[in-house]
This record gives sequence, C-alpha cells and structure tokens, in this order.
Amino acid sequence: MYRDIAISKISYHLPRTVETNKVIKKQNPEWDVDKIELKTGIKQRYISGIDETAVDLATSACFKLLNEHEVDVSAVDAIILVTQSPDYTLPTSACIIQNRLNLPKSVLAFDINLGCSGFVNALSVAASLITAGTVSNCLVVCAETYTKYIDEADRANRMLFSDAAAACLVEKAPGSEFCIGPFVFGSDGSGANELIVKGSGARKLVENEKNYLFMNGANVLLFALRVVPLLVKETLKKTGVNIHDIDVFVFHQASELVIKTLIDRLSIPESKTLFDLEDIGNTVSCTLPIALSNALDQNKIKRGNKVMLIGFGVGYSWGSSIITWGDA
Amino acid sequence: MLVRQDLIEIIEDALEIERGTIDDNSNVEWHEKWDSLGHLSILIKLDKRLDGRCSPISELSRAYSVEKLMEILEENSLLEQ
Repeated sequence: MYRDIAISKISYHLPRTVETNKVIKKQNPEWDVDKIELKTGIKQRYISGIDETAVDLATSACFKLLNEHEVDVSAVDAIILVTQSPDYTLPTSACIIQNRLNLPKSVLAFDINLGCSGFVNALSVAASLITAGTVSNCLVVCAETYTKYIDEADRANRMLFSDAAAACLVEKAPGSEFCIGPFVFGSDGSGANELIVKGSGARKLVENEKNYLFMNGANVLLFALRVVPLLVKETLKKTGVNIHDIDVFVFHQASELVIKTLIDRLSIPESKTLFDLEDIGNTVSCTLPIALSNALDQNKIKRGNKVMLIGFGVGYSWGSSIITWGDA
Repeated sequence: MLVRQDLIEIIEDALEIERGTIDDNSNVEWHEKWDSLGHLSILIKLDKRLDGRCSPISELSRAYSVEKLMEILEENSLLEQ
C-alpha cells in the first residue's frame, strides 16, 4: 500500500476524426448497428489519422497535462508509456516522447506492452519507484491506436475500439491523504490467441495472412466472467474492506454488456459504477484514466472516496487496486 | 444442474424470443437472433444460472447449436440427460 503518493493530475487527448454509428450504418446497411449499439453502449469512436500514431497522441496528452496543470518539465523524473501500438518495434516509444517533450535526459523512460490492464500495472510500477526513492514523480501515459489494426469489414471490433491517449502525473504528495493499493495482478497466456494481432512482431505470418486484430469475443467474455469477480473479491480481501465500502468502481470500459454483467455478478449498484463508453468507445489501456478524468470533472469522485480500478483483457492479463482519493 | 428444458428456456430468454421457438435442432444458422451477440447473451445467462461454472469451459464459445451446448454441458456434469 502506497500512502501519500497521488495521481495528482490527469489529462487526455483524442484524435480529431469521429466515426459515429450513423456513418457505419450508412456504409454497411446490412449490419445491425442499432442492436450492436444497444449491447456495447458505444455511439461513436475516435480514429487516428493515417500519419497520427500513439506517440503523437501520447505527446499531445502530455503537453496538455503539462500546460493545463502548469507542471515544470524539468521536474519530471520518469515516463512510463503503456501501448500496444508503438511507432516502432524499436526504439522505445517512451524515449521518443522524452525528446519531444524536452524532458530532462536524466529521465527514466520505458514502455509497457499491455492492453486493458496496462494502466493498473503502470500505476503500481510508478508507485513502487517513488516509494523506493528511485524517482519522486512519474508520468504514466497510456496511448493506443488499435483502429489501425482493424479490418474495415470487422463489424464487432470496428464498433468497439477507439484511439486515445491519457497522461497522469503520479507523485509524492505528503499530507494529501491519497493512498494507492494494494494491488492484485494476474496473467494467463493460454488466452494469447483469443485477442491478438498476428504478424505484428518477430513471429512471421504464414503467406497471405493479414495482420488484423482478431478477437474471439465469446472466449474473452468467458475469461472476464471467470477472472474479474475473483479479482475484485481478492483485492477487497487484501485491502480489508467490504464491497459496500467502495464508493466508485472503475472497470475497464470493454463494453456496456461486459460491465453490466460483471456488476450484476458482484451485486454492485450501477450508481457506483462508471460508464464512460458512449462517446469515446473502448480505448484499451486509456479507458481507466479517461474515466477517472471525466469522473473527477463531473465531481463523481471526491476526496476521501475509495475508488476501485479493475483492468482486464488482452494477454490474458488483469490487475486491480483500490485508491483512497486525496487532495493533491 | 440443468435439465434440457432449462437450457432451451435459457436460450429463448437470452435471444428474447417466444417460448416454444427453440428445439433440439436449433442452431446459429436457424434464427437471426442467434448471432455472435446473441451467443454472448446465451453464455452470460448460462453462466449466471450455473453460478459461474460455465466460464471455465472455453468450448462453449463455439457451441453454436442446442445439440453442441447440451453435449458440452453434459460432459461437464452441468446438464442431466
């Protein structure tokens, strides 16, 4: 458990292009767009431009954070980028961002290759580094352009995934009453083939195979039903708090169907659950920080609230934590 | 443990279709509502009814017929013959 370490600032950036369900319906009159919208809860998504990458989006989100919150660039000690759509296999995208932001050369910069659980993982790494005294603050940045991996004809994935970047400043905040953790994590690589972009790394494709995103939606759903309720219970047990003591549940915004099914299993009221899908879509690792940012703006999270973060997905990988929100 | 009729009713509820519409020969090609989203609804209802005992059975993700669902559930001692 990390006391007096705060998520003190959050900003996010979305690409300019918006793809609404109306547009998709017009392009694909044979698709049952209304039915899909009803299940996913998503009405529109953001699509990165041809020359616009996760690094571009991440840089914009960081600039926004630095400017909006008047953060001194020279005071940043570390940057962790969570992405599965890096500009290159190498070099590390976080290093490119260090240069673009003109962060000090003493900065610790690295990428974490995780999807929907990535924010929780990166948050734990940042809090550990700060507690160990390695750094005094860390930019945790999530950025994804999954839409570049999606076949235009892939009805299910096209209507879910959206591009975005979100940046958070995690830092020491004595007296803030912030408390992050404990964390619970899990991984199960037996699910690797259920959500995958084949041909996107060093393992070569068979001839003529396209490197599009593949998702076995039914198996990913079964994974979520199998793992997430236990993850939530384990995190509560480790923290020593009752489920009724949690003020706000922030699930990875996979789809409304998934979130509603999970809260039904856990008997969590909708009123305590954030739904942040309708206008943004599933932005992979960005969903948690974007939902947090919007909830803070809407005063849905207040000082003293216990906020549970629950990330789960590609890998399979999952992670959860409880944050007592302070005033940093 | 389910019996055959429970399974049939779970599928009908999940697909939001009238009672008596589904029989042992029904499958994903047979009814327009039994598409990929409809199949997710079936899995959610089945897993809830069976207290989470369906979610470890990945074969259910591709069980696109009543016959196949019955076969898998029986193999896993979740359906009585």
